[in-house]
Amino acid sequence: MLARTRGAMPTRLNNLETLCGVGLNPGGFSYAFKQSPSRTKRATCTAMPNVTSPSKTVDAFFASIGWKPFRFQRSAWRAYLDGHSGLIHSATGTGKTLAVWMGPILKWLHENPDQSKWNPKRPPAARVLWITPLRALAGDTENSLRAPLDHLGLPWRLESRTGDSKASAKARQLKRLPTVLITTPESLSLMLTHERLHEQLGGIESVIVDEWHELMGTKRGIQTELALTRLRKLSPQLRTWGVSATLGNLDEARQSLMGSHPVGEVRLIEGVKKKRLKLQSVIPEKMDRFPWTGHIGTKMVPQVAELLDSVTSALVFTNTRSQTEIWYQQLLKQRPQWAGKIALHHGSLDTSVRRWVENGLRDGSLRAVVCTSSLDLGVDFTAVDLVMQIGSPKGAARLLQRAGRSGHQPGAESRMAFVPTNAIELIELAAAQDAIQKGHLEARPTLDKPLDVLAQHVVTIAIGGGFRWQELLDEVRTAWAYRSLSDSEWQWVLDFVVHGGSSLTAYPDFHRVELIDDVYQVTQRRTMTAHRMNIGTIMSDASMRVKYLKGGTLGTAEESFISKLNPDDKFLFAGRLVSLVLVKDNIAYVRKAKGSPDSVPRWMGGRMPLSSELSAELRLKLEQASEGKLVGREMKSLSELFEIQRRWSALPRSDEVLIERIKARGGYQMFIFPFEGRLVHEGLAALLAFRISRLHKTTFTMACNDHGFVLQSPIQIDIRDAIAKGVFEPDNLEPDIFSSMNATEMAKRQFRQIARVAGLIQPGFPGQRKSSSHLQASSNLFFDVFCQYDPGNLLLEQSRREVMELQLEKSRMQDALQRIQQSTIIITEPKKVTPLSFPLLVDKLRERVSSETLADRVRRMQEQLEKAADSPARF
Amino acid sequence: MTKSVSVTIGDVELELFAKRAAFSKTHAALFIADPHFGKEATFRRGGIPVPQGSTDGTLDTIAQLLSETKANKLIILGDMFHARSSLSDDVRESLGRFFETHHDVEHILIRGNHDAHVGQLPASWPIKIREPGERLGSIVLNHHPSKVPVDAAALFCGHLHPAIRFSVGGESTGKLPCFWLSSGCLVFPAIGEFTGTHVIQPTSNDQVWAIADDQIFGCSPVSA
Repeated sequence: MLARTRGAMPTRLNNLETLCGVGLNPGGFSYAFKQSPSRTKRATCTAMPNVTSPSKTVDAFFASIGWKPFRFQRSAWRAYLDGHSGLIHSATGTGKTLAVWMGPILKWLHENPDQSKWNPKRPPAARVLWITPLRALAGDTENSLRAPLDHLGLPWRLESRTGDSKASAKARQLKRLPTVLITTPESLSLMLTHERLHEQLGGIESVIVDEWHELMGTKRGIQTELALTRLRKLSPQLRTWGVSATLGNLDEARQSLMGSHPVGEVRLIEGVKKKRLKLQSVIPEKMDRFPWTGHIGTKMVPQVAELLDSVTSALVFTNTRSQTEIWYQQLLKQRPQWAGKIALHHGSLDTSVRRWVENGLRDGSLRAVVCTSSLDLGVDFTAVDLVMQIGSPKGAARLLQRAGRSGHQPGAESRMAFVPTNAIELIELAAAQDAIQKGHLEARPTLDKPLDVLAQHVVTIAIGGGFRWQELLDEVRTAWAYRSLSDSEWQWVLDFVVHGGSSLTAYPDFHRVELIDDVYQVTQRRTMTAHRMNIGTIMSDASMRVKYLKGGTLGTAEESFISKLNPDDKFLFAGRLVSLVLVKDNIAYVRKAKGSPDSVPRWMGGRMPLSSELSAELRLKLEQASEGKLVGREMKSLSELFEIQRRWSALPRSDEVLIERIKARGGYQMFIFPFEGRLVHEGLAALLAFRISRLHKTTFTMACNDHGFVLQSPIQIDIRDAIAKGVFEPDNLEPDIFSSMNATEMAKRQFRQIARVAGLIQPGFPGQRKSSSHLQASSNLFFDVFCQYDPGNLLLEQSRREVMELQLEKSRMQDALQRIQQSTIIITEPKKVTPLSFPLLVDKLRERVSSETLADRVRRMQEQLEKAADSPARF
Repeated sequence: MTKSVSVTIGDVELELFAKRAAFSKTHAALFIADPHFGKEATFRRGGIPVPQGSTDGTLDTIAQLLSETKANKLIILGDMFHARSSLSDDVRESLGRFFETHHDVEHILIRGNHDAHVGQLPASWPIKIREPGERLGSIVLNHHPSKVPVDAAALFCGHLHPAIRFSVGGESTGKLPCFWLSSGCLVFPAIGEFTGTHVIQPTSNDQVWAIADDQIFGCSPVSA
């Protein structure tokens, strides 16, 4: 075993100063995609007598906050004045907002140089729409956009319009929009249902999409793309500007934002690429006691608390919401005096709780906040001087983004401490550092023409004034996601909203959109109301509010979690121990409890796979280890682990794939390590099991993680022979996956979201829950009925496609198979379970390759139970 | 696991079918609950696209069961129709055809909560509507689950759309519709194709027969 005593230093910090960048690079550069015809026009905008020149005014503003404009900011402003559109990408906290915000201000200053004519009582008409990905960010955005307006004394009116806005404010805005409106994709879509806004929206000069990287590749991003096509139609000279973190596929980011037929020139402006980053790893004092597996990592609590002692304010990122709850409790246990000084933050908490935490971070009154990706975005916490990442970073871009939460101002240094939860994660961090250094950041995959979002958009436009067949098709095709939409797909979507499905006879009495005089429109008020209610539901999953019996909302938990609890069950929620009292009207009532929890809520979506960029770096890191090159403290600290792995089995090079075969009590185990991320491994495991079981009659059980997968079978498999017979062939991938996995079950799950977006599931009307209850059905039920009575329904097809692309990452799987084909396969037969295979062995999530019917499966499970308990099936 | 199982509740002998119905030989009666006919029509009226077919599908199942068991009584334990708008033209037509084909069967509907809002059924339909509490020998016919009166052997009801979920070593069956017997009260699974389910929490004294595809099997819950 790893018997070695480490030095007496309580906390080993691994300082990698400026590894990830060589200081601030304020220069930046930009380039145009089309040659600019002329830049001379701008020269006419010189200062007028008795008036300060706009650029001097702006410089003065920058001076007042102690900054100087960067070159990339100036080039963004210039491009804006020239009437161009653009995407600015830059590291977090480097002045992106001002880069994009001062353009519209400068332009207005040029047009209205005479201050004496500025009248705050008569603010200019709507000019700028600012789209923020989260409504929680609207308030902060409003503050940061307001600062320059106030300083310059601009008579602009700046307001927000989100799901949180007051109805009275919304009604006022419908009459007259403010000069600048901050809104969300959902609220923007909602605005498009109001025909009377068309004229005002037609006067909009620019739309600015903040944090585009968060939206692109999601259905909300597609919703935004579609809304932008409409805005461009209403205002043909509209400039589109976007702000994004640095991504692996910036071209796609630009294209999806600008659409397939951008107006005028489009510029990609690179801001500050590299921010000074100080990265430390908290390496356990005794590596021999450090587990090879696990994902909670509470062993590290004492060291983390010690590190927190030394900072003013820290963000502690975890990968899942349940981990957040556990870490918060453990830190409090370690330092009881921190009660009230530390907090937790995740997406399921009530807004008021989150606001309180965010304020505490802003004014520096909180020492630490344990959080999930809910704090990945936007909010500017200047007081934060350290970011911690607990557990695998999963991706290099994600690590950078999180690190950027500290030192969130231009020129400041970001500090991050990485806390591994198991030994292997240290390799992942080493790999992430390499990826960052090489600039190998993750791409955001885009979605291709999701018909559910299009169906929603079509109804939106039908309500907001109606449309004609060809006209809207042409408009929709200018959205990047729908550039290849076929006439027949378009016809299907229209049939879906007009008749219900493709066939006229199958859906009698259904009317959502009506075709009157060649114009698609909505006449029924009820449909309009239902649709407006539905627009905001892309995000939300089936969730339940968690409330105290005496009032006071704690937050929301997934319905599937609450439904598994019995009354009096104790669970951790929002950092408190509560017990369930009763569930009524979709609210879970709880009361405070004492003792220890029976369970921690598990929220879905916490199982992100290791990115393919990081996976590739990880393979390289192992190759280095196999050659004995251990660079960095993380890798050095693992030297004994590598040694064991090499002695007992092998350390694969990046052009090798390792297979370990171990005979265990339950059967023969085959551990295969492609290092391609968990989702790919799930697919590969099922595929391999399926293909081998065609060669030999057997059943497999399996488990997967980010590094590999294990297949267990009652008989020994000649894997060499199986490989020779083509079990790793990339051909026939799709049909084989469909036969190998319970793809129907997966499609059913995917259909949930589709059903909601396409308006099959009606949200309850506030205050009239009862009257709409006879129109409630679960998405599973819809799925079954469609499969049986309208199998040609394209929404079913979409759910299958989304399973292939999003859940199984088919293209990544294809690449992986190609790579494995070209690799050397190393087969070892270790006597003991190796460091690489151990985590797979203890992984409890075991799935079975099954092409069984439900009845077969239940029968088998029943037998299993009877064998185990020698009694009839139990629950 | 088989397509049906024989059970005895009190002095009532009964055959439970995976097709979500029960047959009593003594009374030559077929019992079903919660068909919710025309639910899809109601949804379409409400602006939610659901294809036609599930009402006919449910009726086909019932027809098969009637011919299989040669029952001369069909007893519907409530919620025959989903809502007033469920009686659309095509649904009326389908039901009309069904009654015509099975004119020699006595049809009895025990009024359920949904039926209260449906209004008058077409007079030409040969169906008797009875209030909950009706007796058939020693069986009480109800819609809502309830306590069995002392002078009865069993109470048959629906309303809940019961389902059960069980798991073995991390693998879960998902929701399986089931018959649920609790102190003489037998809750039927909903027979309607376009109906949801509600997961029940049986106690250790209860008995449950779960349905997976076309198979039914008994399982005795053990309290956790």
